[in-house]
Amino acid sequence: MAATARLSAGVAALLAVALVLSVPTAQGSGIGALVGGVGALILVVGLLSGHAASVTAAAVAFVLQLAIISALPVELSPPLWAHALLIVLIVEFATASFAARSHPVDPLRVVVRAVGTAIVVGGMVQVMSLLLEGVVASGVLVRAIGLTSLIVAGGWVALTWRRSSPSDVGDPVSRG
Amino acid sequence: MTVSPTPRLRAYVTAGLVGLGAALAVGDPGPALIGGALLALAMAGMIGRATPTMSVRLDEVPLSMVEGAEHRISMHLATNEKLGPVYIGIGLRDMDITSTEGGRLVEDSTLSIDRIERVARVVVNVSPRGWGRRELGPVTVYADSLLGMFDFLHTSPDSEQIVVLPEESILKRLLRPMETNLHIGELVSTRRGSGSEFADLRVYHPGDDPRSINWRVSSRARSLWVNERHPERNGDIVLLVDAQVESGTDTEFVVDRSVRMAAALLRSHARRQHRLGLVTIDGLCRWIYPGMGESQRRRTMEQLMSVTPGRVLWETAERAVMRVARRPAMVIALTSLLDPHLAGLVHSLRRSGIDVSVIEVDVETVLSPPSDEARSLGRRIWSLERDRLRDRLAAEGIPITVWHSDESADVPMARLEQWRTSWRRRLG
Repeated sequence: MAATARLSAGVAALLAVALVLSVPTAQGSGIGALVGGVGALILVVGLLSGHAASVTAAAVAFVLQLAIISALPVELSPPLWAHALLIVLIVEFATASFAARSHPVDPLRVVVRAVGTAIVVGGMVQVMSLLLEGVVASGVLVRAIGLTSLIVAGGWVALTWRRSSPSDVGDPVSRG
Repeated sequence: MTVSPTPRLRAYVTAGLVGLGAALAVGDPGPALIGGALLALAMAGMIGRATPTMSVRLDEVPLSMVEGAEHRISMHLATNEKLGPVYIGIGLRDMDITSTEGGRLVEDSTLSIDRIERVARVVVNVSPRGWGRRELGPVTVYADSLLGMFDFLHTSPDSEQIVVLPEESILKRLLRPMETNLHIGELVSTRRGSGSEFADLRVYHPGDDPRSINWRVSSRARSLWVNERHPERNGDIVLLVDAQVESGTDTEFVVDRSVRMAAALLRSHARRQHRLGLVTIDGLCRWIYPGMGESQRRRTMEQLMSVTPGRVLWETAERAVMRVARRPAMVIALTSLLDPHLAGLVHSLRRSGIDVSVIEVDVETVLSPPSDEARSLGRRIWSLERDRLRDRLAAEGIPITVWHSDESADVPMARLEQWRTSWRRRLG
């Protein structure tokens, strides 16, 4: 494994552990930490064994961890924007680690892309949470709108994904 | 160009959808905010994605290279849209990249280009390590989309074969063939004919060239005498390269020395206008009949560079050698004498009246010292058997010398020439 791949994997694993350790464990929120811990464990195993699907599993586990904690009457730690920032950083570094196994990557570019994306996503979450602060959204209508948006987003992603099926176009190498 | 979604895209989309679903389940906007942000990121990465097309063309690839020397390889890349950053894996094996133009070296044989504006040209200067056949390629181009949601991969289907020759070395001393052939060259033939080297005087016969009359001798003798001359001819040189190896020996070292010596002999004899033939005695046992010219030189070098140590089918080898080594050829055998079959082959050549010499590449120095008494005894017996083999060849008048690892290539040649000279004198 290349040095960049090892380094990226190490950073991703450290951030995952840090995210799990930073969540509260009082009043049943330990279940959230447990889910996050399982995600971190899957990520570490995946990084060691070379299974890229572990990135997805870990990201899902961290989102579920947040959902569990936010459902309980405990203070959210780390804050929402930091949660988003850490999830993005973990995904970016873990993905860079897998990319660096198949071809060389520039470490500087990896860091710039990861930090830049994380800041954008963290900022977006913080702005949206400030805008929605104090807004009470409950009831059948809200759930219906949420479900509809979930289906639309899922459908759009599935459609775009299907269009982006692997293709091979180009000229073969030839001696000039 | 192959396009595939990265683990990043899968993670953002799945986590985003799970976040939205979880928010609905727990009735809290927190997971929805994170899920929405991740989905928005994934969507931004998917919008406007197109499949770029790419072509890679190797403009300048030398047919052959020389070990340690610098050679230039250039590539032309073209895409239908701007791409960046792009990584190009050239697939060079056993070659050092000394410098690059148009790209930055990031790993062994991978270059990085910050951005391709539809067309790019990359030049790499390489220095090969060791001799042999090398493969250039396949060339692989890696790139990704703007937010890294898709990987682009283009792999060239072909690869180029390059022959890497050993370092240039010219021998100062070469063996002179006992017999020459009919082509003009640098060797003074023992026969009489038109040439510049004076041989003898004889009485004039009608039909002799008047320019060959020796007027000074004729005036004294009061009859016409003519000068006889030795013509300048070339010789046929056939090299036998024995690549038979035995387990436990440093095969790389033994075969490497034989091949380097053979390459030096081929180059040096080619300079003297000799016709060159080659028999490589390895697993395949291939041969080239003696010939002259640039294409012959290239063919012999290419075959030499394809030598692979292995087991030899001696019946096939004998047939090949007997087919190529015919009078008036001079045969030089490069062998480690690990197998007595080669000694038998040399005997057969000698019995056919062929001028044959043997350079034995020393293997004893590369063998690990015996670890116990029994092995030490075994080694001594083995050495004695080899000595007996050597003595048998020498007793038949076959010049043989051991080329020790600390000697230059000229040393065994000098010893062989000395042997051949003294043998000629002994025969009168």
